[in-house]
Amino acid sequence: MPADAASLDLPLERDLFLRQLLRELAGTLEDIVGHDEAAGFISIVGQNIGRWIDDAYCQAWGQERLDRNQVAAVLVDLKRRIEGDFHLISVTPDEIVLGNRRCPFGDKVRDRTSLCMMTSNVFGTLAAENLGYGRVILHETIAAGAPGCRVTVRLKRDPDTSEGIEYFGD
Amino acid sequence: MRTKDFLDLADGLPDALLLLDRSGEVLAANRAFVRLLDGQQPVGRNLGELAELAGADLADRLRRWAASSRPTPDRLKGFGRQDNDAARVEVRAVQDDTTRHLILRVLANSSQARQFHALNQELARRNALLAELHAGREALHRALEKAQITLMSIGDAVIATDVDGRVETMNPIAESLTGWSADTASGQPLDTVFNIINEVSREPASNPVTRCLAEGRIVGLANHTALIARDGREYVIEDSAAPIRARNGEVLGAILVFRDVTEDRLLQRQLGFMATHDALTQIYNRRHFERELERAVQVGRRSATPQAMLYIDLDHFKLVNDTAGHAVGDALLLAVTTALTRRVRGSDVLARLGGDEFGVLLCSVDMSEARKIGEEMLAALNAVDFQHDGTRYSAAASIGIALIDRNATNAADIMRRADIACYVAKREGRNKLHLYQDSDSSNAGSVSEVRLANRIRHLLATNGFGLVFQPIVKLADRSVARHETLLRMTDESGKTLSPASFIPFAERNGLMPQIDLWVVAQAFDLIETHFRRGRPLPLSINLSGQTLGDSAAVEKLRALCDRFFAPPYLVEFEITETAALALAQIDQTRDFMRELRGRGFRFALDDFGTGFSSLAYLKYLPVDVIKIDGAFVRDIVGDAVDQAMVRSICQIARSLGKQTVAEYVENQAILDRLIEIGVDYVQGYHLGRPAALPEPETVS
Repeated sequence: MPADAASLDLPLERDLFLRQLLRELAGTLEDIVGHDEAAGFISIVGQNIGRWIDDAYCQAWGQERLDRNQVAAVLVDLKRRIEGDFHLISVTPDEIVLGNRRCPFGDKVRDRTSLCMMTSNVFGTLAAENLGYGRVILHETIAAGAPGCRVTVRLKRDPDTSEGIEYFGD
Repeated sequence: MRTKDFLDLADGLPDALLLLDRSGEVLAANRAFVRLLDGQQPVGRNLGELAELAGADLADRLRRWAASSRPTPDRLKGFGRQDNDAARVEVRAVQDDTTRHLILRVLANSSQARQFHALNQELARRNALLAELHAGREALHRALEKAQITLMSIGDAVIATDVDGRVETMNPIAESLTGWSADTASGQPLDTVFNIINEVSREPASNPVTRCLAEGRIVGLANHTALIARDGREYVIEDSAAPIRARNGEVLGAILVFRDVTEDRLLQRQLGFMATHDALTQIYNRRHFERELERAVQVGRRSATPQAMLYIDLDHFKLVNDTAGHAVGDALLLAVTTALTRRVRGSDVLARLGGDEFGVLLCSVDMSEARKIGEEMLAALNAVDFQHDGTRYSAAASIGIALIDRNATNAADIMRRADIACYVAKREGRNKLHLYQDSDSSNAGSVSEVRLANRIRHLLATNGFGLVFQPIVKLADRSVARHETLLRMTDESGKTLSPASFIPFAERNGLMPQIDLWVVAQAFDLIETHFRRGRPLPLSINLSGQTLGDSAAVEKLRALCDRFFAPPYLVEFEITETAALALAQIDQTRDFMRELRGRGFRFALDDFGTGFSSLAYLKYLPVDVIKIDGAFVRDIVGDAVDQAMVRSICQIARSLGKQTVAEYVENQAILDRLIEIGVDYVQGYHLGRPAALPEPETVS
């Protein structure tokens, strides 16, 4: 038997702990207030995080606002930095389409679709803050059981569609 | 969004809704919201005022709410609430071409939500309980159905009663045995439906359910209980009654289970009868007679009143058998039996000792009375007038009488004396009677027995015995499995003597061990020779109980087995069940058999079924095969008892994992019946007569 707790072979480290924590928080929220409300709460968090990230990139670039290509690049880069694996599928004046093979939450995201509100809100907030508007549509998500995610950020308003969630700039 | 559009949509909704501009000014409120403010119209006021918000706090919230079309949850004070709890709201942005508005929805307050949640949980709990209850009821229903089907299809009769002993239900077997239908019987006292008596005393028997209910325990039925059905039919039954208890132990009623054992009981009686009686004449058999004789000898030693034994040997009976056939011989034997039965007294014992030999044990007689009864018997036999196919047959016999007095040593000695006296009578011209005298032993004995004994010894010394082999056929594939080795003896004139004429004599005179050892040596030699030539010859070899009981003979047998070099499975020893194998010797015999079996030799128990101790032998002796006595097989087609016997023996054998051989298979009808019963091996004239040299053969 090992002499002390520190020498035990355990899969416990900060990153895993935080991801597990988020999973538990989202799960508890979904169970107690229901999925929609849980998604609402997580949206608030997502918005705040989105603004924080936006500020960080703007400051780093020394710009007040980012252009479409920069926004597209930030969406991929921010995910890379937090160990997601997003890539650009296409960037047009109307939309940015992204794919993803790995969720920053890792396998802890499974069955916690409310956590996808983080992506939706961060992407939507970044688009809205810099380009004035963003409608984020999550076509496929790892959380819902798909092998990867596919996300579209529409940059032009279309009053005739109710798909996804709209984000507005100031 | 236009105010009118909002009101058109929102007024009909139950939720309290506000339309705000981005500064928080209330542009419109639906009816539900106005109700929330007790009828006050909030239009034109600012949300900061309604919700007690101001400055940066309000601005931050408005900014956050305006950022997404997704409802953002929040909590706000005010809205006419009596308590100090903040109301839960959600706010979303709506954008049209030019302007962005906010729609605020007030959610049910938290205490309501808690109550609702609690209610929901209670409902879910009750639903789960209800589902559990339904499942339990369903399971109970299924169990009940299963129990009823079991009750209906069970092979025993079952009657359920209430705590007062009144019939509640009964199954079809109970209906059939009692003669009552379940409907008619229901509610009747059990005594009415279940009318039982002691089959011997014919007195009413006590009802086991009454006792079971009174004592609260399982009660069995007394022996010899008979059930009188409603139509008067009588069944011998076995039963037991058990109380039915509630979970708290309270007795709710009783279950009576019984079955018809009439057939079993009859068979049992029949078996008991067969063990002591001769199958043809229905008088006592030799085994029973010997036992009675032994008892008489023991009593005679202590008693002043002598007894006597009569040895009756029919004259020229063999001639009748040979010329007119066995059926006529049997009929004559029956006529003789009838004649003798009339002359014996109630306390006497009459038995058939062998083919044409009878024995009578006379109680409380002296020499002259014994002679008188013997003479009466001779006269009675002479009076037998028996006709068959136009031929008249009369009976005559030679009778030897031996007195059983204080000097008698044992049954065998008395039997020998009576036998010698009978021989003397025969020698004196037949149809005579002779009283044994000590001088007879030297005279008669020297003439007959000593001559026979000398002949046997001579044949043993000169290898003069002959062997013949009768096939034993395996029914599964109709192949010859092995041959039984049979001994043949000739007299001085070269005439073949039947085994029955010298084997009992050899047994009486202790010659069997020598004969058996000679046969074993010959048979082993033959098996080895065939084996060496690559033609295995499985043989079964008879061993008398006398041989197995003789430790010197056993040693010699062991030595022969030690020298035997062919595979031991080619040898099957048939143990002839005989009184010579006394219980005292059983242990050493069993040990010896175990030793040989351990080396691969096989053992069969011969003549199974006729002896009283057959089952005991089966229990003690490690045999592989049971050879059913031919007496049961010969008449199996016409005799239900014989058939039941063979069937029972086969069942016993199967349950003990032993194989069965039926001998005396004399025709196809017998064979067919044995196939139907499931005997493993058969032997008899129909399949092959004893022959000099066995040849491979099959039957169709």
